[in-house]
Amino acid sequence: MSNYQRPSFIKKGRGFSVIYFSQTRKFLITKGVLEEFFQDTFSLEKNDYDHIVENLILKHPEFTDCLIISKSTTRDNNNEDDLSISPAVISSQLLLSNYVVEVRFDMNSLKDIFLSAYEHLNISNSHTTNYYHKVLSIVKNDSMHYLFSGSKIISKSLNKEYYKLQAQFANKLIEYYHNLESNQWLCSFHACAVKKSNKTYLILGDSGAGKSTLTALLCASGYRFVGDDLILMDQEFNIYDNPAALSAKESSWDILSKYYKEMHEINESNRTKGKVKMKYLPIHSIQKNLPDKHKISALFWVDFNPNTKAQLKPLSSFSISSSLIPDTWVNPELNYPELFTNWLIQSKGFRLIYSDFSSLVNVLDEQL
Amino acid sequence: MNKKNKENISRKEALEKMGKYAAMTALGTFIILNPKKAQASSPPDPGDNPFGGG
Repeated sequence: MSNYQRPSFIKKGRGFSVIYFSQTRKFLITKGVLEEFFQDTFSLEKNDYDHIVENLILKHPEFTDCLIISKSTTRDNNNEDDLSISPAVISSQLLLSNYVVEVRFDMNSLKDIFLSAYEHLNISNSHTTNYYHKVLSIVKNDSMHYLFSGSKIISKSLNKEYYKLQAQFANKLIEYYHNLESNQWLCSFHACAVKKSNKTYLILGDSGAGKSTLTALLCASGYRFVGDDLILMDQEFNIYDNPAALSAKESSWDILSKYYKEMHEINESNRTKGKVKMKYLPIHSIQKNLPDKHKISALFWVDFNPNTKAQLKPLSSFSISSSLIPDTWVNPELNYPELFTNWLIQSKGFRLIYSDFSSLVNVLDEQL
Repeated sequence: MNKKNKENISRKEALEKMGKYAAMTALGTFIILNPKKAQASSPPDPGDNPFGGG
């Protein structure tokens, strides 16, 4: 008989339940019989639970990956790395609150990829004596990218997944920006965030939905910038300003130029996304923001539709949960998945449909 | 000895309960979701890997 795992917890939402399986790190969101089934079987003895779940899987093999603990479900492999890598020889210094962070690379292309969003934080070598000094190095060999803090490897990724290392790099910079030496984050969202009248909104959507453009436009219309692309949340449900500049694809330059005179002065980045040219708009600097943290008031899923007037449609808690989880990293340690679920099932969310920006601002301001 | 654990129901009771779910044909609405395995910033657009595979 296989080793079937039990739910780690079952959280009741409005008309549905969120069930989490810690060993396979999967969430099951369900309404109806399954919800009742897992509640009823939660406290069964192992043999009985296994027997019943085996019957479930026979009829519904789609639960195999979710419920069977595979022997290969292990932590990241810790094989010795082949560290035949070149020393980091290219260096830049970033000023983040009380920290001067020296970032070293072994090749210029890495610098373009990792630092384009932070050029506005670059400082010269002089006048750095009153700050804490940190060194981050990014180097690569034939198969892997590595991120070092000082002489210690803190993260690594396959070359084709270098964007995962970008997130780890961004994390470190966010921590320094907020004067945190390190933090146990609850989760990270692939999202933008803005704030107005003490209300903070997380802006979500598919890649290319216009999250960044919309965020930039809102920030030119009275909203405070919180972050673009990557938003970290702590165990008390605070999200933190991300010091990175907002990434603006070429298709958005014309409209952003109407709102940001800086767009003309910003050079096109050496970094592209595919064939798409990019500029990086440092909205925190433009708004002269100081590092801060915020509580999320609502989540918006952006949906650009040229045939519809701007509108906000409330989303059910079920839709919010099922939309947010696949695009979110949830820290699997401790009771973080449960904390995250508690936060998730009480969150308010809306689908934000718009075709023209000015009517959208009106709709949002009414919501405020 | 018939010491019954209040938390754990007996096998007999479990099987009775299972009768209730025996058909298990209509499970209602359900979605199995994987959160992201690692923190990640926006993945590159297709074809946008300056370092090739690996």
